[in-house]
Amino acid sequence: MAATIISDSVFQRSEDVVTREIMGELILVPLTSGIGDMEDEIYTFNETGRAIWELLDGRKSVREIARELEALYESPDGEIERDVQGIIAELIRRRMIFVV
Amino acid sequence: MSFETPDSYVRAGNGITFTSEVRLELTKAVMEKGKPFRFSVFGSSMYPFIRDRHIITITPLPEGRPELGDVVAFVKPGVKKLFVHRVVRIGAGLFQLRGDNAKAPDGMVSRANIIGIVTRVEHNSSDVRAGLGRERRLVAVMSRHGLLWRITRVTGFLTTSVAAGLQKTRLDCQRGDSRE
Repeated sequence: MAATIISDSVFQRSEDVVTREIMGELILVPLTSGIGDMEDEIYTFNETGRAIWELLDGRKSVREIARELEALYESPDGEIERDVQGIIAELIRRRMIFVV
Repeated sequence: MSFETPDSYVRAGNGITFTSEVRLELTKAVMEKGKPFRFSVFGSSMYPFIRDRHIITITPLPEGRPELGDVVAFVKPGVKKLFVHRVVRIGAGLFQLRGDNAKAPDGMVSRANIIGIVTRVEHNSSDVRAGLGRERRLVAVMSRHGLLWRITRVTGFLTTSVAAGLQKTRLDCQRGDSRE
């Protein structure tokens, strides 16, 4: 049931996250705790994570994001959506996205 | 391209070494959001109050600041690098900045070149308060006249001399022991 909810859910990137592309890498500095902390809380995405992050625009559902990525990447059936759900769960845990 | 496992999508970046230009870019971005930014500093230009690898917190500049003695993060015109030095003089709407351990001042900068103000300094999980309280004005005046730099040189010379002397004494004793 939780997986279905996530698949139909639409997520938006939090405004409390500073992102900058630096030397080809996307650097993220969450401000959700009220302070940007380069010592303890700064992140980078790999290419896959970045692709997902950029699709979290507050309009596409998780399923739609997965479909879009399936058109670009080769992967066994269902694996991409499971991976998208996985990263979304991680981003929710870090408070970088929220449900619209 | 194939997908990787979820654990590898987001990587903690605290193992990455950031250049001063990157630090500047990120500091400006966080200041624009109105939030403080905490990071390590490198170098000895603010010795003894802020030392190499101390952690500082920069806060957006409030109205009416900076004042004499404030330690601020700023950019020098034409240089894409973040500096953290002290305000040692204010005049005609401009601010003269200088590292506490610098032989010469940085020059006058406008408020627009000042990114934020240092509100906290940490070392080994403890706060370092020296140089940030009311004494900061006295520190600024001493720095403006080069007194702080000279004191640091003399104490540094004395410390080095004492350490060298102790080392020599230790070696002499070891030689004396070995001869016996």
